[in-house]
Amino acid sequence: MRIKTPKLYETLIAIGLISVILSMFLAWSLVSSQLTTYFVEDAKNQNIEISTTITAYVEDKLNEAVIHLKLIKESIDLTHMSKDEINALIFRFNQINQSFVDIEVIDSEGMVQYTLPQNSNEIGYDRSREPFFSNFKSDAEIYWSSVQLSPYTNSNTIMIAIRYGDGYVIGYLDLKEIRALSDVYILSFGSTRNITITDQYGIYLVNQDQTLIDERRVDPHHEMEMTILNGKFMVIHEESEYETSLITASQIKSNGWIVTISEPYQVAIGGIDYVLKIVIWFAVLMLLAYALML
Amino acid sequence: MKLKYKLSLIIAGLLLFSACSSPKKTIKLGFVGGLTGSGSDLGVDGMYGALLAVKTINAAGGVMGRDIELVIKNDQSDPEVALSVDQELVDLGVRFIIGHMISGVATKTVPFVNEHNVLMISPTIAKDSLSTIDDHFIRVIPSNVTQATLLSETIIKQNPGRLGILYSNNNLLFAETFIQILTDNIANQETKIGGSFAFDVNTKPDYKKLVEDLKTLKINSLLIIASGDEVANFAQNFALMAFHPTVFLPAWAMTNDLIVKGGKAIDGYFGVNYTQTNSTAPEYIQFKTSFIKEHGAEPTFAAIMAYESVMLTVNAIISSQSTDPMIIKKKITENNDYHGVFGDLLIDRTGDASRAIRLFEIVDGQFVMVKP
Repeated sequence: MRIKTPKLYETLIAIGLISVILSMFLAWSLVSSQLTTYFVEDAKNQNIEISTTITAYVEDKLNEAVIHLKLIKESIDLTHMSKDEINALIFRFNQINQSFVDIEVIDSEGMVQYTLPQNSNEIGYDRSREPFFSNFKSDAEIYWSSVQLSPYTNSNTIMIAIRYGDGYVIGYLDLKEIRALSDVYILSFGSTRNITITDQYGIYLVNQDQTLIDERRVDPHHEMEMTILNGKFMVIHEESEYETSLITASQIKSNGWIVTISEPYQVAIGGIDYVLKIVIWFAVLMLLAYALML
Repeated sequence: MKLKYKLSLIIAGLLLFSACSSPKKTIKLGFVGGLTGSGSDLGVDGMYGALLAVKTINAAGGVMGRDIELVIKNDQSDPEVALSVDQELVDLGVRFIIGHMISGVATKTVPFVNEHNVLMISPTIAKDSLSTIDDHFIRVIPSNVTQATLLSETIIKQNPGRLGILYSNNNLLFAETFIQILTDNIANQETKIGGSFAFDVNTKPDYKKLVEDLKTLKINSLLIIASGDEVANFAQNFALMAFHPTVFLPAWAMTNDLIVKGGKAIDGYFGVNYTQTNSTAPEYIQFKTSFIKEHGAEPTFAAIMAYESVMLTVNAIISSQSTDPMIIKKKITENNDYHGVFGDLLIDRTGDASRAIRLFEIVDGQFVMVKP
């Protein structure tokens, strides 16, 4: 079989094409890596700032809820107030701050002694096997439950318990209130970033997708977020969603909740990846065209 | 030579293209349960059990080089919603559904999976009329006849006098079997059924009127067919009104919620269950430790059975090296050698489970096994 020698113009086209493609890739690899690093670093700094701001804000608001319970605790005078007066006092406090779907005062035996008038049927309920009663650490001041269904409204709540003598004052904080705390940030940054708050086990408390909260879903990135707390940062690739994201996480110290900011990589680095794809496509097409020309 | 040259360039181009776009494929398992509303603890606990199983499998390298992806859907314990979420799963390419969690949705969903060549492996649907049918429905919980029979034997043995039945109307199909078996079994016994009361899970019962009615009917024992948190509410109110019947419960109610929310009011209640939460079996201890680490609470029977449902399915996929639902069904029903959290789990040729059931009494907030 005779081997055909390439014509001169074919050789020149080949050399020309290869030179152009190689120079395109060389130039692109030099510029794009620097551009990408710059954009990622910028997104990282912004997201760390947002997550630490939200963390501080939510922590402040949760402290207000705790202070509210403490005020109730300090205002109850068991020796001089009647049962009705104490229930009415809890009602007045709840009118001022309506974050709680219910507030209860529990005695040393775990029995509900006082509560909001609309839930007065529960006076006498036995809470002695609730985790706050048996798991309250001796040096802890406040107990935070994980997400649970409210016995009153069937909505998702967090129970906060503080000591009251030998007993406890407990409040059922509606998760809608926690969502409301961070709404201002979701409105400001939510169009480009996903802002999430989870409890210490990764159960959603705040997310743009309300169904994740209603269904008590677990954040699939919880374990990874635990490893990047305290302002650290990570790039992850979500294989099931074909998406790469930049993740920042920080922790609310009082109860271990985690605030996470997730920003799609494509959004963070602007149009770089899009341009790169065009360059790759262009190179592929040139290769194919050349192959067909031969 | 020229052809080789062309081909190598084309392949190089295609490789470059595919490197930019091909994702790693996963094996999708659906999980469906009631995740919102009253009684949703059953579905949520099941979801957490299934998630733990998937995490364990993926951490060990996945299946046939692929990760398992759990696609979760909420059927709201409503048959129509259940049907529509099953359709969504099929549209997503899911061919195995772990769920559903209550018998009430089975009338719609079982015919659907049969028609669409999907295999449903239910952790907790115990409705008896689904037994002995060779279809696309497999379950890891035995038929509710097993529970109803043991409970009625216990009631006959204890002879508590006049028995009342309280049942939740959102799982009527499950309750009906219980009531029928109980009625048949105690027909010629000293214990008599004094009355049956249905309640709506979405409406707070009038506890005061209920207790008055029960007292008027001289009922001194109750079979309550409901979820753990609903039974806990009844128990708290009965205690407040100084009404202390002997109470019998199905496995559905035997959850951590019952203990936590029922307080001391549920001490002395009897119930049947397939799981032993104080077991020291190494498989259970390992599972329980992992579950508490992940979710901060003791696993309930729903979590255990959902975990087992995933493991059973994945074991069959691994041993048959196939993701064809019918091959997996055959593998599970004909060559089942799965060792569950509490020992061997036997699935027969029609997909029905056999496992040991036990009677428990709640003593100081613990499920204590009653010796036969």
